[in-house]
Amino acid sequence: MENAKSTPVVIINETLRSRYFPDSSPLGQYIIAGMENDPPKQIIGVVDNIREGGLDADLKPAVFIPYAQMPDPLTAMLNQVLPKIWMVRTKVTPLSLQTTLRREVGAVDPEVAVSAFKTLEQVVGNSIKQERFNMVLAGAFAGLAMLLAAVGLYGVLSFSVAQRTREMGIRMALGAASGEILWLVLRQGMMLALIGLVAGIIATFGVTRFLSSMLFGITPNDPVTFLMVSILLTLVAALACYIPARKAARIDPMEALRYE
Amino acid sequence: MRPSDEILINVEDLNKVFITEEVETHALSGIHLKIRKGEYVAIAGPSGCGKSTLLSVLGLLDSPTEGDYSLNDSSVAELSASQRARIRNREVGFIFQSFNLIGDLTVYENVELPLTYQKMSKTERKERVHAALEKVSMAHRMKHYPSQLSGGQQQRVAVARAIVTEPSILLADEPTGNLDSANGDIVMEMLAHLHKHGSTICMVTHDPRYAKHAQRTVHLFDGRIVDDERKDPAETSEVDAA
Repeated sequence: MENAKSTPVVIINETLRSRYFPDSSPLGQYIIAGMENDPPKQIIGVVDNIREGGLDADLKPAVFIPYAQMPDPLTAMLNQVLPKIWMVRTKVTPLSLQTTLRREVGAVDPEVAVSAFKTLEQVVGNSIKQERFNMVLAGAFAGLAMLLAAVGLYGVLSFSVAQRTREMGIRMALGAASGEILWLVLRQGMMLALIGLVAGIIATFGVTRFLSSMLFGITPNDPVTFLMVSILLTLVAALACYIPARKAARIDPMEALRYE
Repeated sequence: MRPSDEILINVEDLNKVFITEEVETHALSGIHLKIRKGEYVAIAGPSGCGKSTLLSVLGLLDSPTEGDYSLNDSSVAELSASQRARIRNREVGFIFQSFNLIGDLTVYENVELPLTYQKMSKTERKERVHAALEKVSMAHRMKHYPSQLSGGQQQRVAVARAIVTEPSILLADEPTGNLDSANGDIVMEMLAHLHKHGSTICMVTHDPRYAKHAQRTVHLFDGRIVDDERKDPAETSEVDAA
């Protein structure tokens, strides 16, 4: 167990290791962490990075120092004043440990107040609250835009089918089956949708760089996202086209031929 | 051309009733009609007597309310919509009063249209379309659109479209109704020429001048056949109409 008199030790994070010890093992080596006059500390371990400042924060080199080996009086004082955060790993439901943790901390120092219990999920959730809000807002507008596009496509095709009622009657008289009329209208609508989709994809490549600051763990031109969104839009367009196409396929050829 | 013994169309006790807002209109009542292969039949009668309704039923565009209808020895009165479409495509050629060409398609594409529903190869379609357009002397206009043609030319294209599939029967609904007399005569001569070369034709007309072109005239009145006139007894003695 490390204490103030034992060899000063630190654990470093992966970013520090890759930056300062790219080609050799840092274990057993010494670094100075803290004031210039502080004694060198021996590296005894490397841990994964932690995004303490939020999921979108840059990863910075970090050292972890035993509480008993605070490197200088100022840091030691700040540690006394600032609220401390304790992390507890458990296999049971985390918040069920509140009473136990209060009792254990109180046993060490009855003056310490233990409050604000949070699960890691809550901590992560709070850290991305703003991003989540932005995502919901952007998603809502995107959904609205998609709905408007679908309604527009439906309207255009319905109008086109109404305009071409007589043509449908002629085609049926000449032997077109319902399926062929359905496919004729569907193809016309899907061509419009595909033109829009291609134009949209090209435009998206141009504007996604403005979104890059709002993205985490994904590139602005992520191919899977583009593919999934394209498939979704194609399906929505197909549904919007199917309704007027089905209506056209059900036209009575006699009525259609009389249609002016 | 002399009609053969084979019966192409056999209609027995056919009725067609339109029901609109609780009003029943008997468009056709107790129609018995046989048309033999190679026959040229005119259906005549005053406006509203059921001529066009009968033609629509014969062309499988409409279904009878009651009665039997056989085309080429197969009952077609109660087929599904897709089966009727298939038979229309292969067995029936329509010529309408108002031409009914599709304005967005060229003359070639209009004539080709029925063949595309037969899933025919492009090469064969091309041969058939060229042959049909040659027959009506419209091959030189195949890249034109209907709006660039006169009424008479449009009707000739419609005739080409009707014959391109080599159907069992041509059904013509007032084919001269929208034409001047000169163009009307050209179309009638064209139908007479097709009949001479083996086509079976059933034409609706209210004009006695054009009905004279047919070997036989069936007169309708109030949805019933009231007369079945055979122009040349020697040629039409085998024709059997109830």
